[in-house]
Amino acid sequence: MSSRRSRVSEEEINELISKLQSLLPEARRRGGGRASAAKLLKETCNYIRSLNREVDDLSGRLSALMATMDHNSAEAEIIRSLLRQ
Amino acid sequence: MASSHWDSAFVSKTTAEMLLRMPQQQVAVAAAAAAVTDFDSSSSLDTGTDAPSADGAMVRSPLSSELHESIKVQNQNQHGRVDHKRKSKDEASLGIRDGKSKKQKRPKGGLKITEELRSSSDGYVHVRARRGQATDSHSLSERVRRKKISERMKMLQGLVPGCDKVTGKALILDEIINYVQCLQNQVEFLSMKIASLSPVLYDFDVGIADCINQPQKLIMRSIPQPLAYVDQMNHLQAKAFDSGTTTFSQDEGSALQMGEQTQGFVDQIGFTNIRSIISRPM
Repeated sequence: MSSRRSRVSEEEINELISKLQSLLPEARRRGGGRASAAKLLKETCNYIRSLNREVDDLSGRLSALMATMDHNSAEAEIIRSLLRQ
Repeated sequence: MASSHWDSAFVSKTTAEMLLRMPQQQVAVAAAAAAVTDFDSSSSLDTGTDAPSADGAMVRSPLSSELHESIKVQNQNQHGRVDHKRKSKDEASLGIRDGKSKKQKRPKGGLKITEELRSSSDGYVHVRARRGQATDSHSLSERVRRKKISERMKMLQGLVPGCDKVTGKALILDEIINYVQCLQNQVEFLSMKIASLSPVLYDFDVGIADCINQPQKLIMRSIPQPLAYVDQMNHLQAKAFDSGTTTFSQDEGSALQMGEQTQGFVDQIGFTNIRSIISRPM
């Protein structure tokens, strides 16, 4: 009984793990061969950290750009409308 | 999906007392194991006592059938030894404990002795084999592997906001996947916004490198801007379009359809080029 249940969730978990693998930037290189879960989780950790860094970086640049622009200029208007979405 | 199957009621009243002493996350696994082993009340799983480290938590994966079986088998062999074990259960585990070593193997076969492997900073993953568990190399390495995975899951739980409220491998993985996708979208969106700051966009067919100098001149002529801004823009352009997988969604497309006011100078610079490229599916 419990073994049947755990087998079902085992499949789900494997599916989730493959999905995660496909999200990672390494996915293309691997060519579909399933890496070990531990490795995947570790790469996910690093990937999340690097994504966070990138977001911070880009946000910083965006705000810096905004700061250098003339407030009344046409481009500023464009940006404002974009950000308003 | 219900994560409760390994939280579900395996608890027998004999182990209730022991469970009270243990931190919550150990309860489920310990309970399941205890139920299967059928030990009497005074036998303990040695879990709460001497594993105070953060990694003292048990492996949270669903107990596989192999574990159940091995426990059952040992149970039958164990009965003779239970008394002997019981009185010195703490000492046994303490005596074997050697915080530095990776694995300690006792002679195989019928001897099922508690082994303790503490997670330490020497880089090894230490695994605690509970009483009555198999100590052959396969189970041990399997246990080590599971322990590694569970450690990493915990790390991820710390990284992903809101993930520590969730229990169950599947749900946690689900959260992680959502978060990664969310972050990726954020990065994409931000790059797009930064890219679209530049009213001068390159003709992609020609290639970015060829165009970099040209647009600069155009900008200088038509729009008065600080030089720093222009340099920054070019730099950003290169970076933004380097990030491979940017897709141009409908939202972005419509946002770039600018109002009357700006249309003039934009066309001047050949913005329509990029607009047509953007609306093309990539």
